[in-house]
Formats: sequence, structure tokens, C-alpha cells
Amino acid sequence: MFRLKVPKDKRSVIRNKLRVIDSAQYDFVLTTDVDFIEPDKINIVFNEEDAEKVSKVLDTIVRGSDVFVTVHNEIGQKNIESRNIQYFISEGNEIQTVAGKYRFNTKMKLYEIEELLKAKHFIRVSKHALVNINKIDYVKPALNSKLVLQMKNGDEVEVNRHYYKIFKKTLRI
Amino acid sequence: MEMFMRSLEFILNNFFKVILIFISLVFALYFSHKIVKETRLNRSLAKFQKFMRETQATMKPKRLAGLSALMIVPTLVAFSVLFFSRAPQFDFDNHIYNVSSEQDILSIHQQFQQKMSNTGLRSVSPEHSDNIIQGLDGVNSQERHMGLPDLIQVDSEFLYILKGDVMSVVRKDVNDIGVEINISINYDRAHDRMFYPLALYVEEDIVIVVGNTYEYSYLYNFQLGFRPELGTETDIIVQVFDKNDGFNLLREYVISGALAHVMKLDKTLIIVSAESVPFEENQVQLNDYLPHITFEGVTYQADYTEISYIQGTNPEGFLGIYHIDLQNGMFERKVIFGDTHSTIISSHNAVYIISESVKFFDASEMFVINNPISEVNTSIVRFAIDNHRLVFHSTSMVNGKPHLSRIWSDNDDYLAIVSLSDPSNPYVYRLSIIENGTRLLSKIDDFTKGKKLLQFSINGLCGISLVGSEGSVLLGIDLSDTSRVSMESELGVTNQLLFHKLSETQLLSIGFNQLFSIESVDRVQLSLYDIGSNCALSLQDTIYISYEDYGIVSSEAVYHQNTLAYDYEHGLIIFPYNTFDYSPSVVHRPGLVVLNAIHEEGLIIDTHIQHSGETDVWSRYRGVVVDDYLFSISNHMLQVAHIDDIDTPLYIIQLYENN
Repeated sequence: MFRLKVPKDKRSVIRNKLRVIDSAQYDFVLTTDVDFIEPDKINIVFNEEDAEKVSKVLDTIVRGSDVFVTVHNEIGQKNIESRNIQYFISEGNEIQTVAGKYRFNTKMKLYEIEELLKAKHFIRVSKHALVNINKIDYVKPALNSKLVLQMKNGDEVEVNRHYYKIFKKTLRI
Repeated sequence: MEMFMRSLEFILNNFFKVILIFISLVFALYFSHKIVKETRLNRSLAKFQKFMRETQATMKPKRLAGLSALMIVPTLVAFSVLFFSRAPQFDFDNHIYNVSSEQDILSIHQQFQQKMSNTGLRSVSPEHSDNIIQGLDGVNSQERHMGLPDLIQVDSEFLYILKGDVMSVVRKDVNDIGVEINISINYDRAHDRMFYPLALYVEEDIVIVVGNTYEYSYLYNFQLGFRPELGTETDIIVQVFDKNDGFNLLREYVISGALAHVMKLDKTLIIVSAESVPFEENQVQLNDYLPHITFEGVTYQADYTEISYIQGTNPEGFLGIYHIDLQNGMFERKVIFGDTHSTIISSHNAVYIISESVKFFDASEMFVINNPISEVNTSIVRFAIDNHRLVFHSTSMVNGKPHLSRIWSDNDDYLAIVSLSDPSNPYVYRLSIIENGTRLLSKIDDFTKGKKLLQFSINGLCGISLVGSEGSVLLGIDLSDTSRVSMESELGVTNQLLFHKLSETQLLSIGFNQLFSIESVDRVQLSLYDIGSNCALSLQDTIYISYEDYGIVSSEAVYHQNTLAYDYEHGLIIFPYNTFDYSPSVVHRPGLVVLNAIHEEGLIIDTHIQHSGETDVWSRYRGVVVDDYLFSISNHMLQVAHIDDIDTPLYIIQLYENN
């Protein structure tokens, strides 16, 4: 997505500030020198002191606008940003939304949520679970081509062997 | 199918170890696969999350360390079990291990036998030298010098004849001929032991007798009753007699074991004893078989710290190498634990022990493997003779199983080692020339061209071989350039079983020639050969001791060296024969044949000699030329005749009473 073009001696520092990875295929050029711009790309020219501000802009570019999911619990109803949700899981007739250490219910079907959050890097890992890739802390292979996903909130979700290939493909393995 | 059966055998022989290895391999494979997969997945996840500008997943090093431990630990356990279940290891230095205790000996033997039991073979020792006594590579060639190993010796005054346990000293001056003294060899006659003479040496002031005592076992013969049969050797007797003191016994050495080698070098005597240890017996007392020597009433038994083991040799007994100073009587000893059938040869420079040495596959240290032998070599251990002392010098290996060995020397020693180079073919021989037992100078592969090697000896600088199952070819090998020995000549011969070296340029071969097709009718065939320059062989003459004149004839000289004498000056060849007839009944008539080898008509039979006073039909005859007289010796008689008239005995002396 991005290509960083800065002097070599400052490259490492600026990269860390921007938290950016160079991509082979990129749409955006990030540079502190106007001479490095590429006419067929989207160029962002900035001063080194503004790197942190640029980083926030990049967050917006990458993540886009957030999507909210309406959930409810015994207290009431609320909208939660999808980026804060760990995973969705169906238990019985209900769909539970797990956000951190909290659990909520939602009235949407799992496939509806999957469609809604497709661009937000939520991936179906079994018939009953939909997981936010960005909230996975560790992947543990299990027997019989299954995986166990250790989420950042400590929960574990199993990737069924039928969804194993899709999961790998998503991670570009 | 063979591969499958071998694999199955290996698994069954090493079942527990195979299971252990299998389990540890499975563990190692499973967990290594898991680690790799997990690492890949989490790296990809971290990269994805970094790309999404999110907090990245961590690699959890503790978990990976745990998985690695699970992968390694079973492998370590399996390795430890295999490692500590190995047979005890011995630290060889240049193929020699210095033993330190009885336990070492037992461990070496046990390990070796355990491995060899899986070959289905018993370690076959090298062809036992047909001559315990070195120098018997050819005929008793009397070139008027002393020191040749024989049971008949001559000096300026006497003729010495050693038969059984009696040495007769005969005044050889025909004007005063007679038995000076008959000396009985004293030895421990308990258990009906008997003495078998093996060597007689004459020095300026002393006479040395060497022989083995035997304990006989008695076997019952229906016609003759209990008869003694040759049993086991017990001790080697070395007796030194003082010529200046009426041939009184000056010194005696009693050495345990069988005589494996004897050689006199100037004023020293090299004796090698061999004694097998009956390891198959339960609770064998190893101390009983350690080499010992008794001298002046004191017994000196070898200590375990004196003993060395040569790597790969069959550890079945002890070889005691004794270096005896004939002037002051002192001795020195080295002991080898190894193959008691090793070939031993010596020179003024050194004593060489030549043995078969097998190399096992490394895996046989841990596993039971069928046929664990990876190669068979010839091991050469050299003990240098340095200022009257024996000093271990070196060990070297030549590829191939040892067959026979010969030596010749100038300032250096040259060993001609014949080894079997093809395990699948017993008639493929390699001739290797080794300098001082350490450096390979040259070799010839398959020098007999697939024919059986019957005999090999060194004549001057020629190696002469008799090959072919019926003695059909003589080969001449030029040894003059030791860095490039080469086959120079090949001569077809017939029915020759043994050749005797007459001189550096002449050979006499002897064998049987069937006159008729009837098996019992034989005649002795003798052929004289010339060895020319570059070892070119040519037949000079052939004669037969014919059936018409003698009846059926046989001769010890067909089978044994040192039975034939050659007097160079007069050109006389003297050897024993035995003739017999079947009618009216079997009659044996032993005697001596005298050939004239320098007659203008070639080889001719000069005469044959039989002692009328000798009644023993099994008498063994020998002949020796002293000055211009032929002395013929039978079991009890000595007869002297002038060379010009051998048929007329001038003197007949009874050596012993006829039994």
C-alpha cells in the first residue's frame, strides 16, 4: 500500500514513527522530499517533525471509517466499533459479541455480520465463529489441520479444518 | 527380498533400541513440524497486523522453547541409552591398546567374540607359516657356514645331531670319528610329557637346543592298544650347553606355551611363544595362561600392564616375545594379547608380528549387526631390536587378509606380504612390499592371475612362487627395485608340490608323477631350474626316481623344507626317500638319494644309501657333506663315505641303541 522514500540515514527513524511497511505494490508514496514523488501515485509529502500526524492520517487511510455494530445486554443497547470486537460466536439461537472482557448479544445473523464486516478483516473460522484478525494474539496448530486462536482478551477460538485454507489464504501464507 | 530379510533381522536383533529410536524420531519429527508451522503462522499474522497498523501478535518464546524441549528430550534419551549401552571403548594409539587389568582382557575378548558371532564366521588366522623356524624358506643349504636352523649342525670340530630328546655330538674328523657325547635333554616328564626338538644352533662356545614339550593323550587302537597321540604343547625348553665345559648345561629357560617362532641373530635368540586361552570354559583363570619364563629357578610371570592388544586382531591368546642375550643370559619380554596364529618374522633389525585385523562398522558398537566386518586388513607390528632390547616401534595396516609373509634385509628390512584382496575369491592375491614394516613401497595385484598360491620364497632379489592347484606354474618376480616390483617370468611346470632353494640362482622342485593311471603307482619327479638375470626362470633338467628301480617312492622332501641338503661345492643334492612294495607284503625301505647336480649330462642319480644296521622301517634319514665326506644319518646310525665313493661306507657308528 505504501512506499517510503526518505534519505537512508533517516529511514529507520521515520519508518518507526510512521509504523509503515513498504509494499511491493503500492498506491501511496510517503516522502520528505518533493523530488521523490511519483506522478502516477498518490504522494504524501511531509516534514519529518510531522511524522506522528502523518501516522494518524495513514491509520485513517488503512482502516477507513469505522463500522459500528449494535449490541445489547441486560443494561441496554449500544453501538460498538468493530475494531474493538474480538469475535462473534453463536451459542444456541443467539449471537454473542465479545469485546474485551465483555459479552453482548446481537440480533443480526452471523452471515449478516460477516457481510457487514468483510472489509474490516473479520474472518469466518467455523460455522459458529467470526473472528477479528487484528485481535488474534497467537495461533497454535492443533491436530487434524485445526488451529486454536488465542485472542488478545485471553479467549481461545478454534479454526475448523474446513476453514483452515481460507484462514491461511487471508494471512497470505 | 534379501534387503527386507536383512532389515527384519536387524530389527529383531535390536528390537528395544529400534523401538526407542523410532519413538524419538516420531517425536522429533512431529514437534519440529509443529514448531515450523506455528512459527510461520504467527509470523504471517504479525506481518498482517503490522500492515493493518495494529498491535502485533508475539512469538511466545517460552512456548517455542517448550516445544523444542519436547522435540529434543526423547532424542537425547534415545542417544543416551544407545551411548551408554555401547561396549566399553578402548583408547587405541596407533592401533595398539596397552592393557591395564584382567578386566580389560576379558572385555576385549567378549566384545570381539560378540561381534564375530554375528558374522557366522570364525576368524580365520593367516596361513600358519610352514616354518616355525625362520630361515627354512628353502633347503638346508650348506654353504659352509654355521647358524642355519636345522636339527643337524656342524662346526670346526663336531657334527651335532638332535633327534628326539637326545643330542649326539660326533667328532667329525675322520681320523678320530666317533660319538663324543650323547646329551639327554632334561625336562619335566610328568604326565608322560615328551620333547619335540625344533631348533639347534651352534655358536663359538655354546650349543643351543630349542624344543617344545608335549603332553600326550592316549587313544585306543584295537590292534595296538593304547597309543600316544600328539597332544598339546606345554612348555618351550631352551637349553644352552657349554662347549668348553664338556657340554655341560650352562643355562636353561623354560617358557610357557607353544613355540611360534625362533631365530638366532648373532649373539641373541628371539623366541616367540603362543598360548591360547580357553575362554569358552566357565570362569577361566586368566592368570594361569599369562606368559611366564623360568630362569635360574625364578619364574617371571607377565603382568597385565606388560600386555598390549593389536586393534582388530582375534583376541584369543597371548604371544610372548622373548629376546635372550646368549652372552650374559639376560632376557627381555614383550607380550601381545591377540591371535596366536599370527605370523612372526624377524631380522637383525626387528621382530614383526603379522596378523589378520578386522574392522567393524561403527554401528556395531551400538547395534547387533549381521556381518559387522567392514574390511579385513593385515596388521604389521614392529618391535625394533635396539641395543639388545626390544622396543615397540610401529603398527601399520595393509589392505587384505594376510596369507603369508617373507622378509629380506640389507640395511633396511623389506617385507613381502601376500594378502587376499578379494573376499569372494580365495585365489586373488596381492603382493605388497613394505619397508621396515611401515612404508608401502610397491605392490602387484592378482599376481598369480587367479591361480592358487602353493609356495612363495625369496631367492636373492627374486620372489619365486609356485602356483596352480597341481603345481603348474613357477613365477619369477623381480624385487631388485623395491619401489617397482614386477612379474618378470612365468614357467609352466607339472606336478610340482614344493620347491627347494639350492642357491640364489638355482631351484629344485619336487613332486609326484604318475606313471600309470593306477593310483597307487607313483614316482618322484625332480626338476632343476636356473634363475637368470631379471629373475628369468628356465628348466635345466628333469629326472624321475622311477618305479622300476625303486618301487613306489615317496619322499619327505615333497612336503617339508629342510629335509633336502645341497652341497654347492660338490654339486650334491641329498634327500630322504621311502620306498615300498606290496608283494609279498608291505615292506618299507627308507634311505637317502644322492643326486649329482653338476654332471655334464644334467641331473643324475648318483646313488642311494640305506643303513644296514638301521632296523627301524620308519627311520628318517638326513645327509650332510662335511669337507669331502658325506655323513648319512638315520634314526640310530651314522655312516661316513668319501664323496668320490659314496657307496663304500668308511665308518659306521651307532648313535643310539635300536629299540
